[in-house]
Order: sequence, then structure tokens, then C-alpha cells
Amino acid sequence: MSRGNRSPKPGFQPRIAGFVCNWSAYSGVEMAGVQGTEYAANMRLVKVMCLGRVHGGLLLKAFELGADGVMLLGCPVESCHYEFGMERTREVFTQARRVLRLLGVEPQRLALVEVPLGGGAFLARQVSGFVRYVGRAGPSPLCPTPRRKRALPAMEAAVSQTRG
Amino acid sequence: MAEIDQIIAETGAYSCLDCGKCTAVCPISRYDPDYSPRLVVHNALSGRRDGLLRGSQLWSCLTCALCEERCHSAVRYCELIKALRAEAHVLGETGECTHGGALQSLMHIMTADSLRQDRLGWLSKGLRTVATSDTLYFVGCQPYFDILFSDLGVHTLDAARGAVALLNRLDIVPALMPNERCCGHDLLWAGDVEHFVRLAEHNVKEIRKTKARRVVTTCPECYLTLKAEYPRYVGELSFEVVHLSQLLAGAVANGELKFRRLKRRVTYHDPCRLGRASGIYDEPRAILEAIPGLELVEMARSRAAALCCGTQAWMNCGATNKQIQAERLREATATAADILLTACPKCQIHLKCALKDDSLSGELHLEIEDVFSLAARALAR
Repeated sequence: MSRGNRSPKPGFQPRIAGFVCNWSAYSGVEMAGVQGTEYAANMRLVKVMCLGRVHGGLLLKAFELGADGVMLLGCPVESCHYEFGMERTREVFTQARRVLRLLGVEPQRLALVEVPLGGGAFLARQVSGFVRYVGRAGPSPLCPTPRRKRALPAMEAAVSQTRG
Repeated sequence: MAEIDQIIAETGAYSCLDCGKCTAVCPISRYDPDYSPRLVVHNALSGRRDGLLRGSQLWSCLTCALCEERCHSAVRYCELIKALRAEAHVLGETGECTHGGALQSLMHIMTADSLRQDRLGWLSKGLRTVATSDTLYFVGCQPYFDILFSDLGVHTLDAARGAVALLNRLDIVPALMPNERCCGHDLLWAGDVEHFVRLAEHNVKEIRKTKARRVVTTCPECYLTLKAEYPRYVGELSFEVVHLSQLLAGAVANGELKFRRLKRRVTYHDPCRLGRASGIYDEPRAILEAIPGLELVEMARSRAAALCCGTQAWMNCGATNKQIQAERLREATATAADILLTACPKCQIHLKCALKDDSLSGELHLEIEDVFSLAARALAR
């Protein structure tokens, strides 16, 4: 579904929004930091207590605000602190990918990764791989206005103001 | 506040006699004692305007126009609400978005120039469509609804498939637009005129490319918006806008459209945008009456008195709205109909949502279907 007339300009740096669960996934982020693991710096993280809290509206909001790709970083499904959070996330993820397909963009612009506890190197590989993919796919056509410089505060406001 | 004076003048609010019949008939006021259309008008007239624009009341109104049916002074209350919301939007106010703001984001995304949707995957085998035609079928947001509300068992695309099948039966091969945008109804009614106009401009441009002289819709909101609002905001249109029920009612009357026997007892819910807003009451009924074996039973309140499906513009849905929906579903159940028919995808979504509610699902047993989906099922082979 990629479109020929949208080949990215050289030097294109994708903007990635990442929703990260406070528990296993964020421990991966911390571990990558502690171990000094290098990975692509394109992602802006929004930390939530459970990825099950992230509903489809927030994913679309991220694309509306100019994300070229969105990463959902959660825990392995069996180790969810709230038991059902990741199951809910899988449903939201599947639904959002179907919407992206209708909107005419590659559904792979939305990724779901289950990060094991303390999986710093794993997380770094996943993020870098995703940034490379989105870099090749090019800018997202879903952003209606010139990209906002400070989209992260708007995203955080959406997280605190909307309920699924 | 000169704008508000102008709004009051244009909507006839100065004629308000303060009689309160609007509040007496308002479905929201019935369950939410804090909401009163009479007070909204009173506050607008008496200069308590900042509170009006900043308050939450402005966003609760269903814009169902039941109050306008009763108003002796012909105050155009829905237009008043719409215009006041536009003023409030400028101040940064908005209603409480439902569904996590997903629909609002979708509408904003659809204003993007770079968007190239891939939204015609629902067209099933045997349905004939073309890229350019005299007649365009404007589908509306049903492809998105069926994904976003799949957990409610919503099948709004059945109406779209039915519409194409019905048109084909009349030897009309409609054009469909793979990059059709949302008509913008819900942005306009949420006061976001700027984004509404962008959607309207996109759609008018795309429609022109199909060379259509006639645009057919099934969604009543698309119908009203394209027909009445687009000319107001983007100028005269190069096409006429018709609701599929009008076209089919004509074909039924001429004997061009024949149905096979379908033995069901049904009741019909008039959508606000098709009924009170557009005056289309008889046409959907004429189609149903042409189906042999089908028995149409009216609810206690129908036509201009019909109760709203309870929610508007993807905003402010809560306990009050659920009670309105329950009231409507109970009315439908009282007719002993097997199927509650409606001609609006939103009504289907809202009523199916209420039907799923734990407190009602044991009590009410009803199927909910779109008129055009049923009519297509009843097409003679």
C-alpha cells in the first residue's frame, strides 16, 4: 500500500509516538538507559500505568498530531499487572490497524511490542527497527496541519482528558 | 458580543415568549433537570452570555428539533445552538468527546490534503459501480463505524451494500469515491466551522471529478449537510442531493421496483435529520409498504413527534442519553415488532449500544436494522 509519490526525502527523520506501560516495558526503557544501549532517538514516550488504558482514540490522536508511526510498548501478555490489560491492548491494536488500512496507510505504522522485564537490549532493537521501517515508509499522510513542534504536551493532554 | 446579537436576531430567539413548551418536550430536560432550552434562550437574551458559552449546557442539546415542533414563536433553537457552539469553539470550549475522541480525530485526519483512503473494500461481488457516472452514491463514514463499533454488532455497511444493490436494480450504476471524506456534520454541529469547511471543499472537489449531476445518500446527516449546509459554506453546488428513500419511493410508485414477500412485523424510527430536519417521513414508509407481507406498526411517537436516538455529534453521552435510548427501545418493544428499522447509521449505533446495556438486554428483545438493508434483502429475484 506504500505510495510511490511519497518516497521520503533524504535525511527524513520520522516522528514516533510511543506509549509505554509503567511495568515491564518501562523497565526495559530504564535498563537500556542504565546499560547505555544506543538506539534511534526518534521516539517520544508517553508513560501510562497500563497499556490497556490506551484506547483507539489516543492512537488516532497521535497520528492527527503528526506521528509518522506509533509504538505500543507493553508487557508480555501473561505478566500484565492488571491481568487483562494486554488482551485489551491487542483488541485496540487490531481495530486501529484496520482503521489505518481504510485511511490508506500502511498498518505497520502502528506496532505492538511485548517487552520482557528489564529487556533493554530487546527494546532498543525493536525501536531502532521500527524507526528504520517508518523512515523508509516516509512521512505519514494523516497529519492535517503543518507538523506541530510541541505535539507531546498535546498528546499528554489527550491522555489525561479522554476516556475510552 | 455583537455576533451573539446577530445570532439571536437570525434565529428568531427575540420572539421567545418564555412559555417553556420547549423544555416540557425536550428529551434531555426530562432526565436532566439542569438542562432547559427555555433557560438557554433566556440567558442568551438577558446578557448572561459568558456563562452560556462557557457552560456545559450548550453541548448537551441533541439538536433533535423536537422543541422547534412545539415552539409557537418559530424560534430556530437548533440553529441557535449551532451558532452559539461556533462562538464557544472560538473560545476553546468543546463538549465532552465520546469514544476517546476517536471520531473527532478521524474527522480532523480527513481534512489532510495528503490523505488517500482505501475505503471501498466493503463492496461485495455482484455490486456494480463505476468511477464516473451521472449518479454518485455518497456512502458516509459507515466503513469506519463498522470497525469502531464492531463490539456492538453494528452493521451499517449492510445499508451501503443494500443501497448499491437497489440502485443497480433500477439500472443505475453509481460512482463511488475511494477518497470520500466525512461530510463534516459532526464538526459543524460541534462548532468547528474551520475543519467543516475543509471537508466540504474536499468533497465538492472530489464529487466534481466524478461528473455526477445527482448525489444520492443513505445517511440522513450526509443528506442534510450536503444539501443544506454545503451551499451555505462553499457556494452553489453543481449537483442535486437526494436521499435514497426519495428515489426509491418514486420507483415504487411507478412500479419500477418490486419486492418479494417478507413476513415480518417492523416499526420505523424517524431519524431527526431525515424527519424533522428534512421533512422526509413518507418516503421510507412507502418503500416498506411496498414489501408484501411486511407489517409496519408505528410507535407511540412517530414522524414529527419521534423521539431522538439520544446522542449527537459524538459528544456528551452519559446516563441521561442512555435513559432516552431506553425510552425509545421500550416504545419500539411495545409495538411487538420483530425489527426496529431506522434509516440512519448513528441511530443504529446508539440504539444497539443501549440494547447491549446489561440493565436492558434482559428486558428488550429486538433486532435493529437499516431500512435499505431490509429493502435489499426483500428485492425480488
